[in-house]
Amino acid sequence: MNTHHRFGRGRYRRARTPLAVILIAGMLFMAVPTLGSTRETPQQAFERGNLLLRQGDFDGALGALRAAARGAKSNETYAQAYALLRRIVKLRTSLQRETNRAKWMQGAAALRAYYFEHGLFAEALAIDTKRFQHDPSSESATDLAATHLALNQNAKAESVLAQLPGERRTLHTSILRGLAIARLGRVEQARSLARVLAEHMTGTDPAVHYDLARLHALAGERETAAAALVRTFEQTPPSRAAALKEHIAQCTDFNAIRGDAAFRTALTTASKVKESGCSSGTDCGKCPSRSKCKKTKS
Amino acid sequence: MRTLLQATFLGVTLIGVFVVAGNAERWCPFGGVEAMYTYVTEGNLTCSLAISNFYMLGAVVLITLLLRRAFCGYMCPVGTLSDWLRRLTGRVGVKPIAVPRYLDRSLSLLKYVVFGVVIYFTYAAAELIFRGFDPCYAIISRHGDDITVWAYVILGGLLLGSMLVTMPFCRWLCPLAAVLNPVSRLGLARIRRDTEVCKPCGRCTRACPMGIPVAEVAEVTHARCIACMSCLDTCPQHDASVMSWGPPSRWGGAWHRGVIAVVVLVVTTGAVAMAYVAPLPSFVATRGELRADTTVIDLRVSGLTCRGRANLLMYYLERDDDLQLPEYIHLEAWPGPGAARVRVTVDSGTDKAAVEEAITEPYYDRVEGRWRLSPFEVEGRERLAAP
Repeated sequence: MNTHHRFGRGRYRRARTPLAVILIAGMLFMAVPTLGSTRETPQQAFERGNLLLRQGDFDGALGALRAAARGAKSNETYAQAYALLRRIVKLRTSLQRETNRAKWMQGAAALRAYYFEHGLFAEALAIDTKRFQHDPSSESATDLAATHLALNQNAKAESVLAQLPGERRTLHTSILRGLAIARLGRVEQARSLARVLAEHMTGTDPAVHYDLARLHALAGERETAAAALVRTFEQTPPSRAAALKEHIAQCTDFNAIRGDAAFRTALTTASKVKESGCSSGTDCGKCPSRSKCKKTKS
Repeated sequence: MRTLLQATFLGVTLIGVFVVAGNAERWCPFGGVEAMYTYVTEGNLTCSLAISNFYMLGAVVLITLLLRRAFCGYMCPVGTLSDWLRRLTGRVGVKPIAVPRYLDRSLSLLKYVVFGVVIYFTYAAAELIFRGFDPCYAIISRHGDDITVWAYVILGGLLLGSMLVTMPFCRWLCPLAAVLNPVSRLGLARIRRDTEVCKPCGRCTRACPMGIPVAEVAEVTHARCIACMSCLDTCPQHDASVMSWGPPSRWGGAWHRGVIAVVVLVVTTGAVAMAYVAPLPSFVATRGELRADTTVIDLRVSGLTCRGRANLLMYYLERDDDLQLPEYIHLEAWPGPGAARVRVTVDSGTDKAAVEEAITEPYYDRVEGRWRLSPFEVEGRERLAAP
């Protein structure tokens, strides 16, 4: 009788099942950290959120930004991006129920500003169209035309602005009409309009200076375009200069003058706007607004 | 005793500034003078000052009424450093420069000029615009955001000057002294000299760090007397009690010096206690007419660090979008680091969540055409809550 053989085989059989369990548990234990490493980081969640937002998926973007903010609680950028989008989502919902026209217009303008800033031009167009229908003012016409232009719907932009009665035409609406005309290939007409408008140029609104710069660039007025860009940067608050540069980098209207030295120099212009420098400390520091720190609303 | 008191107040100041990292500026009595105008005209305090500045100013005025400028001699950090430096240089044999009386009198008028300039421009700007040059601020600010190199230069100059001349800042330049001098003239306690027994050797005059001609008067009622007792201590007729300190002679006998310690400590402690017991708000703003029915909401808000931020808080409460609050809003705030206290009185029926939302949610600025993100967080409100 082969006791040794029978003894060894029996022990092996009895030990086989627990050994298998231990082996599988060990593999799972080693696999879990590997699985964890494929979990999304806050940075990835933030980028996914921005991508979803650009695709118009507000709820998806909200979830992703919230995950980013919760994953990196000290990151103010994530927290603020989430807070702002959450506000926008709430505003979208409340606007659907709003019956007071003035309040609706106010909320719509706020939503539109967000859409436009984040490149959601289709959303902006829908709301701008409604705003213009409710109240065809120069402000709503300007916004609607700007959105058409952003979507390269140049003929529609020109049409909206051409239909404006005289008393509602402003310098800005004329500049945007000039832009539409230039993009439609009527460069000579655009150039004449640009020269007339430049003579009447007043005010400190950087958006108006910026659009005039685009018009001059499309009209082939290279030096004047660069000069208008200089004024744009001078009138833009320091905190928004970086966003402006990014916008210029993506704006095809400047393609013809992008290589010019004057254009490159214009991009380095310092702001002349005294912006509140709230130090969030115990003093108002060197904040230029410190002696009149009270926001007034028109 | 004087050195002990000086060390106590200086130590408390330095611990408060560098260990506790508190806002020592809130306890500066001159801050109370600077904040007076905006508080009376607008109901708000300049910058990051607080009601404690007024309580401390009151305490110093009371101490001055009782003991003349004992604040300078026992409590003020600049006065203490100035005094100790002079004593130190005296020990190594450096004698103080004797300033002629006419020059001393002329120079002492400078503090009124300093006071006038500082107060005028502070009130005009409604801001502590000279803070960046203040030598005291150089000590207590932990290199504050608006400190300039001139504050350190001025401080260095004063400390250097203190080694050569006794108490130059306190005698000639301190704007608080300009405020206290008229009060000190009415001071109760004074140095008394028995003119019948005194052999006028002049040592008391020479010992006085404030340049008072002690040997020429029977009672020192000069406004600049800081009750340092140097004249008493230096009198060679000490056993004959030629010099004493106390109320007017016609009232009675001398006081023990311990009275100074008691008065200074009790009054100061009282001022500090008042600041906690009756902490009047540093910032008050109202919109609308007071109604009969209101709700009071108490909050703790982070990011409410100064008057500028308090103005911003009111801006958010007054928002006119879909999160708009009812007409009547009365805001009382105690700006400061960390979670600052806020009390909002609103129309009855307004719930706390609505007020919290108004404070923390982004707001579209129609004037600038952009979204503004609130810098405030409300304690107990989940910042990253789901919509």
